[in-house]
Amino acid sequence: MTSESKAPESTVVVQTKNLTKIYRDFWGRQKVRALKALDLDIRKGEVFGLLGPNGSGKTTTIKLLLGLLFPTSGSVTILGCPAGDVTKNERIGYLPEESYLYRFLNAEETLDFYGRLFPMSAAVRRQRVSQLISMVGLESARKRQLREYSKGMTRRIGLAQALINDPDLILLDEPTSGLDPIGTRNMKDLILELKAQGKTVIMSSHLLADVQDVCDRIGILYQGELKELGRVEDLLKINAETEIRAEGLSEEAKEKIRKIIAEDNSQLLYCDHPTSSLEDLFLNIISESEARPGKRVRGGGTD
Amino acid sequence: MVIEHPVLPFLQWLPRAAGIWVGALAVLIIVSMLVGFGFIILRNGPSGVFSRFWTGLKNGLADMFQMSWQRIWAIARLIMKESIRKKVIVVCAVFLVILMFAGWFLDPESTDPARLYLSFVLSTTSYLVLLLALFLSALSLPADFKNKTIFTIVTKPVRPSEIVLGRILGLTIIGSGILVIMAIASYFFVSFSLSHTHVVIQNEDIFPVASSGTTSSNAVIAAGETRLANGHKHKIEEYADGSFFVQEVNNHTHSIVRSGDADDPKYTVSNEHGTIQAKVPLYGSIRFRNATEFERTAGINVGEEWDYRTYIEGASSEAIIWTFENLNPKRFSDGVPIEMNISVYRTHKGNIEKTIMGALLVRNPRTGLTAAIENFNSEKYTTKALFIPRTIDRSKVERTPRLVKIYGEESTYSRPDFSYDPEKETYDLFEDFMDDGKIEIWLTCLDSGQYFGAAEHDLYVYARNANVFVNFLKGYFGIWQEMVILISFGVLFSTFLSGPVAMVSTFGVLIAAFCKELFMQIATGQTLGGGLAESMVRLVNHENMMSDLPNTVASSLIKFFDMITSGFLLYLGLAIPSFADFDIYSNSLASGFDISWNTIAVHAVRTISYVVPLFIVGYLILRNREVAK
Ligand SMILES: Nc1ncnc2c1ncn2[C@@H]1O[C@H](COP(=O)(O)OP(=O)(O)OP(=O)(O)O)[C@@H](O)[C@H]1O
Ligand SMILES: [Mg+2]
Repeated sequence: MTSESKAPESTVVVQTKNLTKIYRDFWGRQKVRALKALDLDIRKGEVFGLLGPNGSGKTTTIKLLLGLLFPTSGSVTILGCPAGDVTKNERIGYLPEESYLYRFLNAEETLDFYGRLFPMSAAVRRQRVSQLISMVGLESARKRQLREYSKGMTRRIGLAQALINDPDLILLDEPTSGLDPIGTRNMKDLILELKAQGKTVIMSSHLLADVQDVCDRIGILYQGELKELGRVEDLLKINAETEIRAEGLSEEAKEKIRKIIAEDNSQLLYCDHPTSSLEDLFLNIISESEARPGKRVRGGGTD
Repeated sequence: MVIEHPVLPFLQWLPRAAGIWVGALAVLIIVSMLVGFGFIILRNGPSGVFSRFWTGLKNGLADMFQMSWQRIWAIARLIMKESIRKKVIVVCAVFLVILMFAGWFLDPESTDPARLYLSFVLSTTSYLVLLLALFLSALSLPADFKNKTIFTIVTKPVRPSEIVLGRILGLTIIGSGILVIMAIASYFFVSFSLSHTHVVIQNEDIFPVASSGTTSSNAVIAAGETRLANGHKHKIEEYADGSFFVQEVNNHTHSIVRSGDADDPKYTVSNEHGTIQAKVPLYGSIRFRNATEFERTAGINVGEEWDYRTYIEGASSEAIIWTFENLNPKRFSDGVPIEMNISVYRTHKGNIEKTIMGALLVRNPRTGLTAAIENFNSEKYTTKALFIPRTIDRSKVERTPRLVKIYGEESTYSRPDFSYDPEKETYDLFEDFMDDGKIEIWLTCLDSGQYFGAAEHDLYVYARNANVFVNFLKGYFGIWQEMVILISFGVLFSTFLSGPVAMVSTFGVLIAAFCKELFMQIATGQTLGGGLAESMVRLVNHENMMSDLPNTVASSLIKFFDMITSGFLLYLGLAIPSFADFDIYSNSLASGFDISWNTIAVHAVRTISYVVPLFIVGYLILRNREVAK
């Protein structure tokens, strides 16, 4: 890992070093070690997925990157600035876990308000507001106060809010939660579109399907530790296992293949229709790390 | 009008106040730097403290000086929208309802209805507005933290300083809007409540007076009384030239117009005028002369607990002396109108109906030339209006100078260049009695065994009338200033406390601000029974407040502890505004005095001097707060 982190500065958008977060209570007593010594480089133009079960530290990581939380130790460099720097936010968009928005504003006012927080002219702001409202499909509800919105609608306006400044780096915390299948599809398309525009996206999810479809690289967090880091394709090629996929294979052919495997002193696990492979990986890592706690990072994960 | 905390002239007040302010701010800056160092060491360990501190300082300066008005305004607009959507306007409705009910309870027939009505609307407005400011300011930011909407704010390029300032600004604008609505409602309420007219009908209320044969224009041709209205009548007289005399009752008069033909005249009485006034007073500085003609800063204490006024004895050499420095001969070309509220203290009842006689004199402060202008009857609790004419007749001028001796200054014993001229028919007020711009006005009591008492502001030159409506707005500006200070406190507390706790803390400040004097007495150990710990010990041991504590190590420790706490409280006391200082607004308005621009300037600077450090502290706290905790 350390050798890869020497990538040219301009291409590394987010870099964390030994990032650790311990939640403490009022008296300074330790409550939870939410994140343990995270080292991460995220490059310009990639879609990075943070994957992990509930409570694994995904939201904590994103909050640390944004400076919403102060690290217990370690450091964050984001767009070349420390996490606490406000000017970096001009190029960042953030969709929180739940959409925390002002319920007394309507969609238009919400976007207008967030737009005013950026150095952009009133004309540009107005144009972006209506553009984003139609992009997230809320034209019919643009004048309704957010208190009347359904969960999915709130999520959409939250997304629009994150994109108001046309950011270069977008952090999406569980972007698909609360969305219907079409909404989920749209969200994924949007993420791919953002990637096509050359933007960097960091998203978190516990839904593997989301990550699998859109992410270039994923990191798997479990109990605050980074368990896996790598390209989606690489992670899918699980070292010890081979997947054989064929169409119209005759019984004799199958028998031949079994023989070859037997000659190789290997053991055929299955030769069947493949299941969603990432899910296996995920469950695997979890069961493995419950058996053998500790850090497990595959070599060459970052390329 | 009682003025216990006179407002100094702006330029005289500013340097001292600025000195204290800068000192307090320096302490604040040093403390926050130390806290900053502590913070850094706690968070990152002792290595690299200075470079981290330097970055922190640089960021802090950027947060202060690179604020964007666009963002501050965006946040202020948000706060305003929030307040409006949450229906704060209901407070105005509550106010209107209170006014409606007050209409039944307030008595327009009282002797000073203007004071009654004005004090009522002022205090009601200030309670409502201050409470509203307290709620809004203490709850707004904590709600953002609770709903986590703050996450979406601080991840935008918004500086913590802009969040704090935007809040103060937005809440101030909302509060101002409500205050303006209340002020206008109050103005109409007071003027409609006090407005009345009287009926005057020929041969029922006013009767022709038999002509005495003279045909001069000021001969009385009819006299009588108006009908009862608002619990009073006015005596009226009609003169041959068609003008009227209307007696002043409850601080107001009316004007009357006669119409119709000579046998069947109709009298139309106008609405009252003069109820609400905005008198512009000019104040002098007070001193006293005792029975042996020596100068004193205060008179006799007649045993009243409230030592605001001190007294002089009747039929003695004692006098109360006001020195006026600001009388402009051009402005007072006919003479100088004086008003006074003299307190009378009787050592023997005598005839209770009989009022005590006093004398008003003017004196040249250098030559001692003195003229007795007028003897007057003094009634308690009434404002007495007198007039010092520009031209003073020889008969009034005394042949010997009056002296004010000063201990240790022998020269003042000798006669000054006394300027009485027996040939001179008349004397001029400004030429003969003013020296180096100064004129002295003396007050003496003529009845032996009785006393006159006064404080500096009890006698003033009635310079002119200011616009009543403008003065009304000025009075509400006083409430506005208190509101802004309170909002700043509320916002400060809300940067680190939860909503309810911030509210209670702000409320604590409000109470401390209203009773600052008591607070400072505790802080400076002027209360009986010692400071905090000592009082505690006395309380637990059931000891009285007066006896000294036994001379032990423990009691020295207690005293030492009290010394430290009192120092701390004293500094804290500097941070607490004194809302009693703002009473000058409501008192002036209710008593019919113009609120001077000087008062407004001093208090405006005071307000800013609170808002700025509160804003800075709020910013520092917010900046170092872990938002997502
Ligand atoms: N403010 C907090 N105080 C104390 N502990 C916290 C706090 N926030 C999170 N935690 C703990 O930190 C750990 C990581 O939480 P985090 O919210 O980062 O998980 P997550 O991966 O986002 O989970 P999910 O998928 O449910 O959103 C959890 O054990 C959680 O209980
Ligand atoms: Mg989460």
